[in-house]
Amino acid sequence: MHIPDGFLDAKTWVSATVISTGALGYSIAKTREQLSDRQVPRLGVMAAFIFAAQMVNFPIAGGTSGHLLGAALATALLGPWSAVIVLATVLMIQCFVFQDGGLTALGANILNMGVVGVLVSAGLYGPLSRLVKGKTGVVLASFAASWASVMAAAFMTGAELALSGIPFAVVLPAMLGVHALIGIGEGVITAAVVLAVLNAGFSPNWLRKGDVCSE
Amino acid sequence: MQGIEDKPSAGIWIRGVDARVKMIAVVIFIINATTLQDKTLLLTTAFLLLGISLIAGISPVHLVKRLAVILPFGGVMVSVIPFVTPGEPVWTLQLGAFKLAVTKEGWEAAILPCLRMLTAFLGMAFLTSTTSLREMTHALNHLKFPKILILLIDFTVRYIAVVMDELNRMQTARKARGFKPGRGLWDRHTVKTIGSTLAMLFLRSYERAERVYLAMLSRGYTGRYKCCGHCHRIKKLDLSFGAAMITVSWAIKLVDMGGIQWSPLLK
Repeated sequence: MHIPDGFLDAKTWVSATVISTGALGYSIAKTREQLSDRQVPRLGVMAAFIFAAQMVNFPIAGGTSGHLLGAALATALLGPWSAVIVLATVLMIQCFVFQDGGLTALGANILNMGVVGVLVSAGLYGPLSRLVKGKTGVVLASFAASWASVMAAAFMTGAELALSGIPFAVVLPAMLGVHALIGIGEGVITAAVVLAVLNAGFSPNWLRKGDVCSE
Repeated sequence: MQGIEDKPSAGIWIRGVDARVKMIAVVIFIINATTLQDKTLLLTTAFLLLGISLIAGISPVHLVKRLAVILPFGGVMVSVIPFVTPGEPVWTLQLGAFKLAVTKEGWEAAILPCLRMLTAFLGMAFLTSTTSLREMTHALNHLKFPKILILLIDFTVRYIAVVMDELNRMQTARKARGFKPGRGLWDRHTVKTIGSTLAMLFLRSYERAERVYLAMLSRGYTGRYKCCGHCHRIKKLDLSFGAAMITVSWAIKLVDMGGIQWSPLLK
């Protein structure tokens, strides 16, 4: 879903870049309330984990395979604000090192997969996992959050292409249809990972542990 | 993990050009190129970039390998846009009850973004093949890019190799125990195994993050980005390279803008 250069026109990519820069700045400010600058190494290792998680292929059906987008996984494990920063970092590295996703489209890609993906996941994961107690709640919440984050990212991609004058309004339903299937894969794997992590006794609150020598 | 800390594959003179200059020049080049309207000018730009890349000593094989990453998106767009744009049909495809028509307008609409994508790709390939990531983050630091993001990119790149190695070891061990992925998502065992692999990878990364953080603190880490100490002034070579790139880019852009205004007068 990484948009390359050339498909978005100037007004679209400039607005997308402005929005995602704002969102990223806000997330950094929010994370600073919990983590200090000195904990950047910790977020770096977590970003490396998300990068690696995106590399794992899983079979979907009939010999096809997919890989994770990671927005919902990062949200469930790291919390929304750290997740936005971590995903933006991963997308920047993919752009600058692997040329996956264009330079002018970087803001749009961060907006689709980072910001919108995380906000949708966070909006669903928190309330759902509180609404339904226990492991069922965690599975249900992570599945719903992942599926919705993939759909939201696909919708945003389609909408941005349409805004750029590429006749995409006809293709949008097809794109959403395909991603509805991909989203199921993302949902199942994310739910399995989140469940296994919580079963191992991990608590997302650990990330909010303060600085060791902050006193 | 290949590719991430590779030595740039380019010749020596181009690596001497200051990374800041290269970055600014390439960014301006790409922004101008992706707003060009004229196909001939776009092609000219693409060939110019290809020429510079080849002169800089980037191997064509390397470029083709890089191209493979962006082809899926471009390929889908090229194969879809001509069919869905309304207009004069030039070629039809009969698929049972469905009739798909490639339109002239659709073809035009597909070619332009693809040429732009290719041009921008060549620009980025030029930048990333002639500049190492460390040089790029260093340049970003001097260009006043937010420090926290530069630090994060630095750490992430360093640990991607470590985490990927860990993942590969786990996958090898899994294979050695006789695991074969199933055919689809309904295979509970496959989903559970992949889920627990990633969960384990997360927990190990989390613990590694703790260890790394404590180790760095004990060595006096303060969260500040340290400049590597070989910052150099802009040389004549940098200035002439940057000026040439930017001038050529704007020249093409101006011809393109002017071309649109002049074309009605010529008719």
